Amino acid sequence: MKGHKKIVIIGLVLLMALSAVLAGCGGSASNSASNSGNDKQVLNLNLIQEPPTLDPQKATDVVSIDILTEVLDGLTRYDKDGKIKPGSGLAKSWDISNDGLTYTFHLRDAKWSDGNPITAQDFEYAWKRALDPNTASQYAYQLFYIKGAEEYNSGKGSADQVAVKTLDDKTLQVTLKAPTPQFLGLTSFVTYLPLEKSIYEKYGDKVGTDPDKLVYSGPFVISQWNHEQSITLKKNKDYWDSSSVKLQTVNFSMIKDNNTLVQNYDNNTLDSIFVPGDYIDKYKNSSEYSDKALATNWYVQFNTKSPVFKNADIRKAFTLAIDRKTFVEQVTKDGSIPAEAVVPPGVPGYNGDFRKEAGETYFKDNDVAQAKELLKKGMSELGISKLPTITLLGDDTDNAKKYDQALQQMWKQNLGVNVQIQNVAFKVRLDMMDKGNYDMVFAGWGADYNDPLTFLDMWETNNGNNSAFYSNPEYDKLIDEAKVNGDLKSRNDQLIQAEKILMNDMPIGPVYFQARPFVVKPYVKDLYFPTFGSDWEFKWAYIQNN
Amino acid sequence: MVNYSLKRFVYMLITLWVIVTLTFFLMHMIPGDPFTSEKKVPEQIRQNMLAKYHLDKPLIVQYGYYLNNLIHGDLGISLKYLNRTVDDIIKQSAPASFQLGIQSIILGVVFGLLFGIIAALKRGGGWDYFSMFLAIIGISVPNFIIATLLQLLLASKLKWLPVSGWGSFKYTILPSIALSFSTLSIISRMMRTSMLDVIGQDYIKTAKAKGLSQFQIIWKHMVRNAIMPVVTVLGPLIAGIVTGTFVIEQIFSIPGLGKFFVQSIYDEDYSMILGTTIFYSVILVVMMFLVDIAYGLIDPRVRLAKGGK
Repeated sequence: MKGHKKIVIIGLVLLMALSAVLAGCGGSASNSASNSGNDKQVLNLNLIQEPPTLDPQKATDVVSIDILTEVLDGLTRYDKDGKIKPGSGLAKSWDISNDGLTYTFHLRDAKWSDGNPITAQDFEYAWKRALDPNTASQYAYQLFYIKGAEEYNSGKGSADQVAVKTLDDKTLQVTLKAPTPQFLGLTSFVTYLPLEKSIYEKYGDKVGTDPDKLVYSGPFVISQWNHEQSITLKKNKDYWDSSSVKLQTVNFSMIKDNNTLVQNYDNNTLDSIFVPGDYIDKYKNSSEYSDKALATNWYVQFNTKSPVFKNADIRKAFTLAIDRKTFVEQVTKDGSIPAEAVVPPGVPGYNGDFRKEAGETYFKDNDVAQAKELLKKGMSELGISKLPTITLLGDDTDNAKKYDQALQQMWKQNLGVNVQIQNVAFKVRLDMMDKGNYDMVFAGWGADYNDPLTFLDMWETNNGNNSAFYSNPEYDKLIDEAKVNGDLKSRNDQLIQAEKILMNDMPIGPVYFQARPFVVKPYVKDLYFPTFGSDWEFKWAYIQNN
Repeated sequence: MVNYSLKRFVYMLITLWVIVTLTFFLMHMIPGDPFTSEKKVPEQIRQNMLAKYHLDKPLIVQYGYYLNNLIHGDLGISLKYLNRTVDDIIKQSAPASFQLGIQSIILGVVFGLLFGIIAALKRGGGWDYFSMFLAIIGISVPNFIIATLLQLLLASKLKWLPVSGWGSFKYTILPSIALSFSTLSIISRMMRTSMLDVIGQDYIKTAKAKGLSQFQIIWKHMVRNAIMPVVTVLGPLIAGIVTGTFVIEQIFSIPGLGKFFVQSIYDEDYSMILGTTIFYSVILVVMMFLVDIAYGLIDPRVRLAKGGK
């Protein structure tokens, strides 16, 4: 009898499963029908992962920045054309002292999403919170331009010595250590975005872990956050510029699988995606396809302490032997452009594009003859007749492996050198670079702020990011002077000089300036793709009814 | 039985302690640390961060902290998802993995047993070849291929089911099926083999001679005896599946625990590595214990042997 019972139970389970399957089918059909109509102001996008934290003073990654910059406004906000203008953010205007050190911001009348007014005190509190050693904010250094900031953060000064002063509820005064042309842009960066003082005091370390532990000042508010799954934004009714915001809802999924991502775009479940490498050919000829230049350069970095690459001629030989045109057309295929300089195009110089002012290129692409000669010369300078085994270090992602192999192939073909490849996990690679356990590495650098300095000061002798161990006193002097130079014209000239020296010594061999391909459905209008910072700007976006 | 359970429980704790200790020291040998980042931060900021999460202390002290917290049921704060506790993350992610795992196990076991039994009874017939064909596919084709094919056919082309996501039951169907394939094939092959073993036994002839019905012979005498090896593999199989699977969860974009097992190692998120390892180990050890109890229920001889000790 017992046995019969079991059979019955198993049968029931089967039946249930089957009926559920059938019921599920019916449900999904009606659901997908309602999704395909785009008569509402709803935008569907994908985040590459769960935002690690929405605490503005602790966020460091692009996904967190994507969300935070849409739900919070800073003193400034980048406009549609990527410019900072008075009144584009929470400061309606500002005065800068003649020495370029003191900024006085006049705040507009704006409200937090809980109805309270946004005050200068909120900014002062947030900035000092970022600098408080107990907050342990990784990006605290983004505020080190402010007088007294670094001292407070490293325990050598107090919060009161940080030169951020609330003059009254609507006036904030900041004094900098040195003239910093990019400071206005920086005030739109996440570390500078305040929350209401009372929220910080109430939630402490739990700020930004859930939507109710945040308060909003930007175009949107977070209405729902299912961890690892989805985030829903709704229009912020209390936003000072809410008349410019047309979208009612923005849905974010968190799909990581490339094939799934593409299928969701094709099914109209997503309105725009960044096209994964393997799918570029699929969309390349579509009118929905485009790419945005990122302020990011990729280069082969040489360990200038290694027995071979301590020689500049050999470094140059390896750089010149790379065929960049083939590399971007056949290997990356993503709209990236060949790089024969360090600072990517689009980064502002004195009066326009820095790249145009400094000259487009410092050397010829794929200059095999010159490369061979330099290699010969370098080897005789070192007194060797045969190169030791040279290893190229790289990440262990599919793309990185493909890129490393392409470089390996070019060196073999153009220089006749056999290079080994070592692919390791990202953090392991960083650790090996710091310790100098490598010959050369394929690496990239994205802008921290919109200024050439972000690509150049890292190669100063004692800079923590200089894992090429490059050192040139002349270079250091130029960068140090540029950092404090209030005369923007001569500052720009110093940066151009510095880049020239860097390309002459060549601790890094530029390969390409990265672009990121994306597709957007034709009914999505005014969705912008900034060159650095967040992935999108959809404050002004809307859905055109068709 | 109580004595036996108690002994098993103590062994379980020792096993867990060994796993925690090994994992703790091994993971600290990975080059870098949770705060290794491409953009170097000033040394003082690094020190502030290390101090906040006690990573500035000697390793053995950190180990002490960890064990102490663990005894109090605290798995610590994730070093990637700053401010979120590992307990929270596991609590939020495990249910999805668990539901998916259970559904796929039910599918796999029910159909696996069914196919195995029928294949053995109709040995050499069409059913036998069909189930063998299915088993070969299940074992040799990785489940992400099956998943992608199902997704393409049933979701993208026919639009019967959603491509990806999580929420209502319909989202669970494709991933459950994709995930059940390997279980199904393992179980059907095992069941077939052990059924064939049993079919040749004398007591089956006796049962037939007694005039028992076909159904009673199969259910009471064959299946019950043949199912032991299947029950043995079921323990680790269930533990492996209900704690989440990286690939299937990624393909169907399911907010489960699977990715944390893999990603936490890349992120060097120490507390998350330990948290997921402990979670998996506990489930595994508990499953093995349940399997032991199940032996006793299915096979009275096991019960007697234990009682005799």
